[in-house]
Amino acid sequence: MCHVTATLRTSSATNMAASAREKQSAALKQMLNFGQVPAKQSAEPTWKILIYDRFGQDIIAPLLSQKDLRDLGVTLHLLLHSDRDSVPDVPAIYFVMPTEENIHRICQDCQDQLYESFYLNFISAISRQRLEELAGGVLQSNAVANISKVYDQYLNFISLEDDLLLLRQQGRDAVSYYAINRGDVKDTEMEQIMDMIVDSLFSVFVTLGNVPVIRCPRGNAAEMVAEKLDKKLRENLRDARSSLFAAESLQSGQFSFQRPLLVILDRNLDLATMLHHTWTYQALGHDVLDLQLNRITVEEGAATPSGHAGAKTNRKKKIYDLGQHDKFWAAQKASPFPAVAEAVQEALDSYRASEDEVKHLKHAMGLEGDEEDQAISMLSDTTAKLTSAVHSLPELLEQKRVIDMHTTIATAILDHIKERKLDVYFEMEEKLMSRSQLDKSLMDIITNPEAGSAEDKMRLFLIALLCGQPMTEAEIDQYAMTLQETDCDIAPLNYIRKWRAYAKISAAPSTYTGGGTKTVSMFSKLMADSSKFVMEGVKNLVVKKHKLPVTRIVDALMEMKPNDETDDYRYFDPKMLRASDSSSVPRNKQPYQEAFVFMVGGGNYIEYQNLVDYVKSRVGMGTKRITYGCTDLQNASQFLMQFGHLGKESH
Amino acid sequence: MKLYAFTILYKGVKVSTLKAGYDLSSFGYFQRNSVNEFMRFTSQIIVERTLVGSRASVKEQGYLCHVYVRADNLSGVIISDHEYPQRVCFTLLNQVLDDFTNKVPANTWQTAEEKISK
Repeated sequence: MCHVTATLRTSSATNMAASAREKQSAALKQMLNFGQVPAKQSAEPTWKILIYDRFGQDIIAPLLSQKDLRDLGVTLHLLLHSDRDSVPDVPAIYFVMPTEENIHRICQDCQDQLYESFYLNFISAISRQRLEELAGGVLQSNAVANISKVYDQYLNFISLEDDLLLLRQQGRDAVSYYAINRGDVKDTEMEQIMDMIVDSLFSVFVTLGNVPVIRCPRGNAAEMVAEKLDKKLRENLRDARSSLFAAESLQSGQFSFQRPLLVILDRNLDLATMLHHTWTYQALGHDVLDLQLNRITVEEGAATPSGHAGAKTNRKKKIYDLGQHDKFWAAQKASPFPAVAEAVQEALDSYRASEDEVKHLKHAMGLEGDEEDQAISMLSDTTAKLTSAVHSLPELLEQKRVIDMHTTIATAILDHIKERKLDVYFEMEEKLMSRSQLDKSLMDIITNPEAGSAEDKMRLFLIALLCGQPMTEAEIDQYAMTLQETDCDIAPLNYIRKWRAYAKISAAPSTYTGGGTKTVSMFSKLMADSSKFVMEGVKNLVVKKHKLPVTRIVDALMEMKPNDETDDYRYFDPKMLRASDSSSVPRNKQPYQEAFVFMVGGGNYIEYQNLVDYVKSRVGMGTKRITYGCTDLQNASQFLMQFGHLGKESH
Repeated sequence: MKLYAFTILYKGVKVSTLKAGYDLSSFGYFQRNSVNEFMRFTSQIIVERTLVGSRASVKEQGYLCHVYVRADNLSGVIISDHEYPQRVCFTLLNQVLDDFTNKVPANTWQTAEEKISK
């Protein structure tokens, strides 16, 4: 008979606790090994079929490549709701959400006897009701013997990096900023949304095997999520039958200074960062091209938005995987764009040098063949050289592929930068956000037909409205008219005007500290050589170190610093026996070593990068790790579109 | 054309809110609390500043507040958007204050205060 268990996570033997991604990846591998811990000696794996729904697909895709799946013995992987042929004699591993629709389909599969045995893995815990439905359906078709195992996997989140998580890619509209902030939301609808978010956060901590201490601001979605999560963790800890957090508690988690801090924040805390133009490689890729689940799509040919009408249909799209194994990506994804361009150039040069060496060798081999005496003594030497050249050939080919890929991506980004003058926007916004003086007036840029798309202008103006010098209603009206004349949709502006009236605006002058840019005047190699990247006319901007609002808050909370904003935050500790009054923060003097920041209502790479930079700046000072999570990753145009919907609503 | 709030107050030495009704469905779920407080507060302030026996319409942050302080100190405030016709508001205020007077005895107004349940 089948039984529901939570998978036993193997405790990590290493000192540095594994990241959420590593643990999730290990859990998936264990799942694909029929729930057994994979043996060190990799014998021939049993062949199996993997079936997932779209949520399972999004979870697996960034962690396991096609090759990885094949290495684990997966011969075929299919979507649950597709027409599938029977493959008898092969076990099937399901990885799906426990929805009514999915349960129904699974029962159907059992009835049709599509596979030899069924291993059912539910991404989030299956409810009693659904479990009974499943049992009933399977019983009816006499297929009970075929169900080998049923697991609650608690893997309801997506890991993109060791320190970056999100909740949804497909199906993200359910938990978007729009869904949470629109009017006309019933209580029951909001409860549903919050429950979805809480379920995912709960999964994260089950996967880590650790119970966090939770801090959150008051009066918004973050508070609701925190309350519900605290309740869920508390219930689970008190439940004697549940062993979700038991295993790891002996090592970590007993003492609060080894427990992580979870900071839950609401998107309304900082809207400007979502609209900001950016200058680092990964964030630019996300803003300007289409980057989803670590895959980037580049349109071949002219990447300019002002292309001719006919040309659009001819453009081909290429999709690239930006995985963990790409060393160039790992080194450059946080770099400012000019540095990336230089790095690509350098990589290309060093590749050409290696290529020349191999050619040289082939040439030398050809010559030496004539002279017999010399050949015999040289043979051993050249054989060695040849062997190493042959070995390095696949490496070289791989290197070439990676360089070509990044050249294409970087060129596409550069085209956008030049076309829309994104460097100008970036510089202006940094000045606005750091309250420095602008050398060009805002109106100049907005009325300049050569600089930026309508969206770019709206983004810039909204940032000015949110962070810059205060404007009178009349001034705002004037800008609105000007923007409308440039074919801009001003619905987002209407939303922000309404928002300003009622949001608890804590964006006081201290919000965006530091920042600003320095223009480095020389370009060195780029201009001198016949380089692919002609950055003529593009400013070589260097960003000064600064803290975005999220980073500042996390810093204050982790280091237990007194701070106007965070002093009022609520405090939840699910492990404490009595649910204490969450207004009184216990006097825990120890700063936290690890933190999770979760943004409700969408996040982006800029915010993520800022946290990564903060962690780097504190190497040697005790802060070990910060993981950034959000309901979904939005780039500025997607986010602006949500503002547009919200703006149209109120009219 | 929207009505956001309707409040009945008593203008004694201090202004006290006797009863309030809201329709905040056009606001975001998490904004409703603070909007509610804002409207409550605004209604009180406006009644404080309005002379007994007079009517007024005040523009506040893109919304219109219509206030009527009766001679017997019973007051009503309607908060609406710009489209809602003014005359209708004042007729409504008259009507509701009359209904309230019929239902609730006048001697309780001074000491009564609305119980706010969370």
